This record gives sequence, C-alpha cells and structure tokens, in this order.
Amino acid sequence: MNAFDIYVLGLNHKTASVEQRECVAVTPPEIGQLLQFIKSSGHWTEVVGLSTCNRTEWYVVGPKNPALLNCLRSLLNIHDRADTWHNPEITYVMKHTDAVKHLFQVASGLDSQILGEPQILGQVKDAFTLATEANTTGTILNNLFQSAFHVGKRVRSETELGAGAVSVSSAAVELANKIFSDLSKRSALLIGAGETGELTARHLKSRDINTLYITNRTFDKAEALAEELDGYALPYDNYAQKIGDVDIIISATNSPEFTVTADAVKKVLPNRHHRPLFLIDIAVPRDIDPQLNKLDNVFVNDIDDLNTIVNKNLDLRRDEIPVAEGIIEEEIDSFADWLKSLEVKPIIASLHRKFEELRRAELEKNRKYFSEEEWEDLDKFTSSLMKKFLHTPMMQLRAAAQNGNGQMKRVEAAYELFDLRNYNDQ
Amino acid sequence: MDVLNIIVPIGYIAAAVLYAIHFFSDELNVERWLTPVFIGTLLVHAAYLTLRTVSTAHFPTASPPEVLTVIAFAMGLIYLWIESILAVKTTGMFVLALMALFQSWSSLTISDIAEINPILQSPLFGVHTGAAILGYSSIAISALYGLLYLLLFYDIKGSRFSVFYNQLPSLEVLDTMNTKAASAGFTFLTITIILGSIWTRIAFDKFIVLDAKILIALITWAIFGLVIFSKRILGWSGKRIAYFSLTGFASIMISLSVVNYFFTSFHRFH
Repeated sequence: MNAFDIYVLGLNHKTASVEQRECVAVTPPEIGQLLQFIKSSGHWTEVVGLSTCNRTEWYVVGPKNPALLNCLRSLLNIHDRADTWHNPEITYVMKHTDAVKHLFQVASGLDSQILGEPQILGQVKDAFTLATEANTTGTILNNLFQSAFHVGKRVRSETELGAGAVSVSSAAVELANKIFSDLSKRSALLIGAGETGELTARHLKSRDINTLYITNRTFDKAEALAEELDGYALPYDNYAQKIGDVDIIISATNSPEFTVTADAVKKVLPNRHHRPLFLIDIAVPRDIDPQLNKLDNVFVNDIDDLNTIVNKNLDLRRDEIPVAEGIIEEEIDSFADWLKSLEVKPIIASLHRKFEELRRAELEKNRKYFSEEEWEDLDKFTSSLMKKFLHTPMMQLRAAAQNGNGQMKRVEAAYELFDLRNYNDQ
Repeated sequence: MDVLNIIVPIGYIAAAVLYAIHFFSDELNVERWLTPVFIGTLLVHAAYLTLRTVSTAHFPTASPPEVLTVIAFAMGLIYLWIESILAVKTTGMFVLALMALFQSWSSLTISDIAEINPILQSPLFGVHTGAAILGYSSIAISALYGLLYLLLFYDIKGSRFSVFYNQLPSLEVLDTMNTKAASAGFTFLTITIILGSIWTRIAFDKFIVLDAKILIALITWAIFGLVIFSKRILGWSGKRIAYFSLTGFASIMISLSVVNYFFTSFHRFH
C-alpha cells in the first residue's frame, strides 16, 4: 500500500458565492508564495494551486492523515480575511481516486460554469507551470497533471463537449458564419458599443472580419472601441449611409425606435445587387424591423433566436457528458495502474540491487582465474543470467500490484524470502 | 456480373446509411468508415461497368437503366471531388441517397441487350453520351446543393436552427457548389446537344428536333443557361438559383423516366 495520498481542498462556483470566492482567490505571485509556505510546513511533499474566477483549489500529496488538512486550511488562511477555508459548507475535500477524478473533470470542462468551456485547460496548465517553477511538484503530481492535460485534450477531440457557441455574442458570429463562409472578406457595422455589442464586435474581430464600423450615441465610446479593434468610428447621425455597403449589421442599443428600418434597407437594396445582408438584433426593445426578414437576401435574427442557438448547443454539450465521463474513467484506471506500480517499485529495486551485489562480489572473488577478455565475457554472461532468473519474480510482483491489496501478501513474502530488509531504499 | 449488380446498390445504401448516422449523431466511430465504404463501392462499381462493357461489347449507355448506373458512378466521382474541396462529410448523406436510388432503380430494371443498333457504335455517339452523362450528373449534384441551400435558408429564416443548421456548411459554400455544378452541367449539355445534332445529321441525314427527349434537353439547357446568366450577369444568389437548379433537375428526371417508358421515339433504341 502507498504510504501517501492525494488530496484536493477547494471551493468553486457550485459551493461558494462570488464574494466567498473573492476572499480566497490568489494571484500567481501569491500562489508562488503559498506553494513554498505549504511545502515548507513539512506535511506535504507536493503542492499545486489553481485559482480562477470560478474556483480556488489546492492539490497536495502527503501522509494518509486527514487531520493534516486542518493544518492546510490554517496555512491557506494567510490570504483569507473571512476564514473561508475553515467553513466546511462551502469548501470540499476529496482524496485519492475522487481527487484524481475531480481534476480530470476540471481539466475537461465538465466542472465549469459554462459546460465544456475551453479556457480552463490552459488555466490548469498555468497552475502546474507555477508549481513546477516553485519546485513544489514531484513524481505523483507531475504524472497526475500530465494525465489531466491528456484527458482535457481527449475530451476536446473525441467529444462535442466544446462544440457550438454558448454565449449570445458568439452565437451571433456563429450565425454569421452560416451565411458567409469567410468573414475575412466581409464588412460589419456595429450600432451601439455597449457590453453585448462590444463582445460581439470582439468575436467578429477574432474571426478576422475585414472591415468593422462602430457607431454609438456617445461618439468617444465608439472611437475608443474602434481604435482598440482596428475599426472605424462613425458619428451616430451618419451610420445609415453604411447600410448599403456592409454585409453584417449588429444593433445593440437602448433605442425605443428601430435603428434599422425597413425603408432604410429597401432604399439601398437595388444597389446591393442581391448581395446577402445579415442583421443581428441584440436589443430589447428590438432595434431592427422584423419585417425585413421577409426579403429574400436579408436575414434578420433577434435575441430570442440567439438564445435558441445557445440553448440547443448547451443541450448538445450535455448529451456528450456520458462520453466524456467514459474517457475520464479510462484515464483514472490508467493512472491507478501507474500508482499501483509505484507500490512495488522499492522491492523490485531492492531485489535487483541485492542480486547485483552478490553477482559482483562473486565475480571479484574469482577475478584472478580469468584473463581481462574472459572476465568481460563472464561479466556479460552473469548479468544476462541474473536478469533471466529475476524476470519471473519481478513480473509476479508487478502483477501483484495490479491485482490489488489481497495480492500484496506476495510482496511481503518476497521481502522475507529474499531477505531484502537491508536493501530497502525507502 | 450479376453478383456485382446486387453488391453495388447494397454498397451505396450502406454508405448512405453510414453518412446519415454521421449527419444526425456525429458518431466518431462511424466517420472513419465513411470514405472506405464509399470508395470501396465505387471501385466495385467501376469493375461492374468494365465487365458489363466487355461482356455486352458496348459502353453501358444504350438503355435507361444503363445510363442510370453510369450517372450514379459519375455522381460518385464528382462528389468525391467535392468532399475533398469542402473537407466536410455532412452533405454526403444526400448525394449517396440519390446515388443509391439511381443504382437500385438500374439494378432492378437492367437487362442484357441482345443486339445493339449499329448507329450507336459511332465514336461521335460515344462522346455525345459521355458528355450527356457528365452533364446530367453535374445537374443532379447542382440540384442537391440547391436543395441543401433551401433547407438551410428556411432553417435560418424560420429560426428553427435544426440539425441542418448544425451540420451543413454555410449558405455561401452551398451556393458556390450549386453554381459550380450548374456551370459544369450547362457546359456538358451544350457539348451533348451540339454533338447530338451533328451525329443525327450524319446518321439520319437530317436534323431531328421533334423528339420529346431532345425538347426536354433543350429546355433544361435553357434553364441552366438562365441560371448561369442570372448568376454571372444579374448577380442573383441563393434562393432563386437553388429553385432554378431543382427545376432543371426535375426536367431531366421527366426526360429519363416518363419519356423513355411512355413515348416511342428515336431516343429509345431497343
């Protein structure tokens, strides 16, 4: 049996409010300090700290003594004004397989507030890098986190857990991509540089929109966003002139009247030569005359349509949970096999060391009877013979580890049989 | 050859079912089988056409069932090319379903022709039928992409966002593929009509225009000419072009089925 265990102590968006999460959130430099602080306490041999908007979690490896977790809670309170880590209602502790499973779920986006969101894998990688730089990881957490990255990649490539847009602004851009194949050849006009409008503009920019015009009642705001996104700011009185030129119009204002009227669009249609026009209305009350959707080359979609897309995509992601869970179970098994192999590593090393010492001693004793050339041949021969003799016992020991605790008597018997107590390197 | 005549439609039906599973469920285990099953069936189909050509001593274009099996094969080749350009396999279900329909129709009705009319052995006739088959296959593909365009168009317009929204490529891509296939179809039909009229002049010593199939071919040619003109000159896009392609395809289907089974004219050679 391993003398250590893996624990995770944490809180997340499911257990704690944003105020409570704020109390324990730590910056990367603070994580670095805490990692050193926790390791220097002497209780924990390995530590990794993960802190994002939605979670703060500490992964530790240490003795099988749950009481030590209280020490960890106390150590972490150094950065916690509200004694949050001692509150069992909002924090959770998981150990061994549960802790491994939790990390795999986190890395694959299964535990995220927005199911399958992709940023978390990068955040887990950053957390691990911080810990390796602080020299607070070892064999166990190195392997555990590498396995978690592997799980994250597998879930992303083998399931649809990350597929489809799951925010209104990204759904608007996904919809634009269902009409136009390549946004880098298209132009867009954003009416209203508020929060939703800005997010949509950023998504369009991330898809390399060719030209982006931005207009807002407060011109300074339009100008600032245009500068940041490499677009063009238009005075609010003049934006109607661009309706005939652009391919996509996004309107997200608080205007009580239509910002894009049927008359304004119909007037420019003859000059557009049947070029499709996509109008996205992200405002309540609506900004774009819905009657325009009746025109052949004009597509109008409003906030309800975008919410429908988001909900359907979330449903599709939820359908993928069992597949993702299956991948996680496979990887837990493979990690557990690796952990078990660690249990017999010391005895295999001891066995090898004892036989090697015996072989060398016997060779040295008889060295005078052989020439240099003969002695080298003899060295190779005895080494090969020893490996062959030890092959079966070593295989049996590895099998004992894989087959579970009942088989571990075989390991104890091997210690007695070969008298390995003095060769134990643990 | 009889065994291959059974294997080919079964292969296309199996491929169509696999493409349908892929379309509706995105099953990754199925995706890896799509191309092998499809290409495997195409190879068997090629072997079948070769055997048929050798054993009947004529290229299999002398009867409607023979034309259908060659059209299914040509569609397969054209679709393989399109799939490699689009790099998406979600439109395959529709093409494979049509190919399976054509091939099944052909396999059920095909029979050995004891004697072939000597006028059909002219090389000019070979090029004429070859161009006609490529033209009809392109038009079938064009109509399919037109249909897919309309499915996605109404899905977005009606805010349904169904499986078509999730799985089909953009309207712009579907419109491009529709127009490309329509242009190819128009070009091949033009060649077919020119060579056909030259050949009838040589074989029958007169121009024949009062044949039902020729009339329908001319109408189809005119429709696709209008499609290309509307697209290139008037800048039409999307919905209207899609409806035009479907109309053109419908006239071909009428030409192939109704005319061949209910009318007797020189285009029915046996």
